[in-house]
Amino acid sequence: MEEKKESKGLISWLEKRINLFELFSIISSFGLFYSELDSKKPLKEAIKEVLEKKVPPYARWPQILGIITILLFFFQVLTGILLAFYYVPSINESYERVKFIIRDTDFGWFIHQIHFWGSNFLIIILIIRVMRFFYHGVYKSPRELLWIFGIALLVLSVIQAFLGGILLMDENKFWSSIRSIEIIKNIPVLNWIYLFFLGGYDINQQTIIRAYFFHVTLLPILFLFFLYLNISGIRKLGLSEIPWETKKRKEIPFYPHHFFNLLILLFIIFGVLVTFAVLFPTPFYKPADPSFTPPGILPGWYFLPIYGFFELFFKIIPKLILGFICILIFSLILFLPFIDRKEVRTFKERILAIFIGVIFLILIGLFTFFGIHKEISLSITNIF
Amino acid sequence: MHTFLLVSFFAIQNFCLLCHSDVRVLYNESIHSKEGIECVGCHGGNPFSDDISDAHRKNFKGKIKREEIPSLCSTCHSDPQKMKPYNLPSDQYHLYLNSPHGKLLQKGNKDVAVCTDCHSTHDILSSDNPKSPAYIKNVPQTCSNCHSDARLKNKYNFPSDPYKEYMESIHAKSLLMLGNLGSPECTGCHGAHGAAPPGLGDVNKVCGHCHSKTREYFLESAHRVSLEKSGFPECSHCHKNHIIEKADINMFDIVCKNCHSSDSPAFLAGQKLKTMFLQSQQEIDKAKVLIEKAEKIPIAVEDYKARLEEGNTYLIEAQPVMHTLSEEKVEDLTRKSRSIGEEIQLELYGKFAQLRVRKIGLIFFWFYLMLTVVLIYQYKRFLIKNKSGKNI
Repeated sequence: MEEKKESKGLISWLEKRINLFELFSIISSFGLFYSELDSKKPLKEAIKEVLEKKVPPYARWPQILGIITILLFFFQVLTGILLAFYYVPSINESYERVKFIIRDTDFGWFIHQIHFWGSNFLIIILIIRVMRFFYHGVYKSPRELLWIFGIALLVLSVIQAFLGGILLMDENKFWSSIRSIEIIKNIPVLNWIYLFFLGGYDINQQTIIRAYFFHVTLLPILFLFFLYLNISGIRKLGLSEIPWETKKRKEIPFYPHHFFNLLILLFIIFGVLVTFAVLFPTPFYKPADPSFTPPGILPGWYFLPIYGFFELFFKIIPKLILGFICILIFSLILFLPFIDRKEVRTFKERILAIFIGVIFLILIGLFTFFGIHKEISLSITNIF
Repeated sequence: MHTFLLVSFFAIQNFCLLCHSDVRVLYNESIHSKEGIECVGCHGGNPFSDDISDAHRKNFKGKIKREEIPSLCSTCHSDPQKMKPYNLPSDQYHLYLNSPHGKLLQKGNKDVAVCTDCHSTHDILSSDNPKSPAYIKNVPQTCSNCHSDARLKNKYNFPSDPYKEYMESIHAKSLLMLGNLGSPECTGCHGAHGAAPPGLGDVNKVCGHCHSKTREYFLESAHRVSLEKSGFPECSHCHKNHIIEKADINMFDIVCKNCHSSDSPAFLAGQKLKTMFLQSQQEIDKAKVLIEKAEKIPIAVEDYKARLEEGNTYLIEAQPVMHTLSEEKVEDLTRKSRSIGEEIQLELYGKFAQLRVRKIGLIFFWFYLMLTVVLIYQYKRFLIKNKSGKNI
């Protein structure tokens, strides 16, 4: 009993001296609580109120993608910090340091593999999330900005994966990054942005330093910022209902229902990451040799559709025009909520939109295939 | 005025090139031109006169007769004092006169090679110059000008086409494709100015210039005596002469049969050497594959790589040692190599087994993870039950 009193005393002691409420509300802004804290009440009461507040059930699978993103990002930051303890961003030392981390430090391999799989999962989850936004019409008014934030998060995670690849300096990632840079080089606007931030299309000391800086500081902060905008948007507008579900679900209190569900999800995601890290570890390649391209190198998988698109058409259509087409398609996707302004959200009323979406997905799949099988795309272009 | 300009322009050179403009282009490129050896040095005459009859008077030799070329060149190239500054030997003429080429020339045969056939005439370049026909990589082609010539082949009954054979050999591949200038061309075995085919008993000595260890081992073997007795040219009896192929362990199956029947003790002894070598090579190869696999994980393999190198060195050493035909000596090396290969494999398999612990650990991990999840779920249900009980 005495101990309890002491802990109570500590919180009130702290509350008198620092703005504990503000500190707590910053943390809770990133999805810990569904509703806002009432700042007029003392912290304990406010938390109690929030905990008891009823929330729509999160347990429906399409609606947990956002929270998975947050959890994965949390794992990425955690493992990233641990990797940064030993990593040195230098053209001569990077490879050796990565080797040291994976080979010679305790559980270094584990941290590295979790970071690798975490980044891939993050991109996959964000792609599925954007697809679900489209499928359920979540981008319709008043959630237009949620769509844009979703796209921004996806783009940021792809950039992070690309920059992270440059840092490894092994044979596979080095040449894969060069392939990716070749794509970026051909896309107008994007190439200016790339040149401004990374300073050139080669991979040298300057590239490594800049890539490292953006990878560990600016981009995670930006990611966090968009995550916050996303969560605060959801808090403001509420979770979107699935359009064709007429029966309204029973609301559940945040604590213990929702809180423990989140905890279980955190454990399961960690379990999946660990399983992939142990069963399917990414191999460790030889150091990069800038004068020798190993055969069969492809850009990062997230660039494959664009790579395939270029491989298929670059002999027939100038690369500049192909680049413009890419930019155009990206702009159409980004500003979709302002193009498709009808408020209908049900499947039957959006047949054209769904049809275009499916065609787009098929094309993405097809271009990815052509990206992987370059010889097929080359033989097709040779026909023309 | 014009004549004055023309004269002053050529004053530093010579007037010969004024008329012989076709030669001028070739000559200006030559090493002789760069070292200041002018036309008069070989052809005589007066280089300071622009009058044809005057220029062609004083000791003028005109076009040098083919049979006189070696002795003409030797006037400078056999003079040690003149050759010393250029670090060139002065015994080439003597060597040439004693070579089959020189001897035949002295007998009046004009088909044989003289200096200009290999070094060219006016555009003589240093033999270090890749453009020179005497440059190491160009020698096979230069020799083939005569030795693959259909007319000469028929006239002198050359037994084969050495150029064609050489081009298929390991020596040619090493020299021309890999750029290994230590690999021999024609002159490497036959000599340059004293070019002659090695005598029957001398083949091992010639091959031994480069393969010195192999020769040492061969001299210890029973083959040496028997080949000498039978009058076969040692090394080339198994490895052939111009068409020398890459020495391969499978030669034991083919070459040995030329003299030994396949059930003879000698043939079986050869097979034993082959088996010993192959077993070691297999172990070394397996170790190499495992090291590559370990590197990708990555496991520290620097030490294994160094040991693999050691094992490989024993294996490389075992190849010339095979020429001794001594089972004991070959076994000593192959056993060392094999045991290194096996050791590396054993240790790496041990490390891979340690990695398997990770996978086994995954089962325990999931067990405890699911246990935690179930406990959390139960606790959640307990809290809900308690809450709803209180509410009631």
